[in-house]
Amino acid sequence: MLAKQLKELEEKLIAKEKSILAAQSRGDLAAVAAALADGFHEIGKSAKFYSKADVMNALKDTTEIADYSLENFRLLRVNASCAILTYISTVRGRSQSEEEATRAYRSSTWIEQDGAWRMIFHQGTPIAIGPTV
Amino acid sequence: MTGEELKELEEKLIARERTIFAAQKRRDFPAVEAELAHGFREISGSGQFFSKAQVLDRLKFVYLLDYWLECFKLVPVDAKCVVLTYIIRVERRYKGQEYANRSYRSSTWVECNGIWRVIFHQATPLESLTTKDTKV
Repeated sequence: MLAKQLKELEEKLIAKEKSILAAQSRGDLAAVAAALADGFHEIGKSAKFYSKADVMNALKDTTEIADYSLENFRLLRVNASCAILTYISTVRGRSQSEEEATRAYRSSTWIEQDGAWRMIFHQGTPIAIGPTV
Repeated sequence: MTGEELKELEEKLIARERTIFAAQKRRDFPAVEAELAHGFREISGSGQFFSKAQVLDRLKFVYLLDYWLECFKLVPVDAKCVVLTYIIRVERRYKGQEYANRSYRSSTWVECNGIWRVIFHQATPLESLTTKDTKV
């Protein structure tokens, strides 16, 4: 794949990633569900394994997002119909102060099905503060 | 893929996953490297991004003492790509200190020319944050 095409795919998937958070932020769960593939699974940043149904149920009770930013995007092309987007997210809930914002390194695995890109897997890892192995 | 084919693939990739940890424990770095696809990258349990070269370099400084794998699940992506998830407990030595922790892992396996290799790996700590690693 040409560098230009890769760049275009990266920009497209970044936009899709942001649109999921935007939909979540405004409580549009149908839009979130549409962006996830049927076989979607997630390992949340608290290390729990969720199916698509689990995620959709959890979103109903989630504290609303007050503020978020995404940065350090990198795209890994897996094959013609699959790519992994990695990035750092900083998210602050309505009840949290600026200092309580949580940072996590995230990956989303995207697949192209019938011409549309959907997320099939997602994992988040909290960014540790201080020395680690 | 049929259910049976998926089950067979899951068993094959679980065995391969164990092979990587076994190679790491006996410090056979070329054997580890052979399992990783060209563009491999990783997000570590502390939330850091590493390239293939960085991961291979880090292996020299982290000694894998023991490990236990459990709770395997396979997430099918397409005919040539799957995500294998599992929980691992590892005991490691780093800079003279011993550490033990558990994390939820995912390995994205991709088939190229008939050979399956890991192209992406991520770890999420199970016990609070990695900074709380308990000493053995």
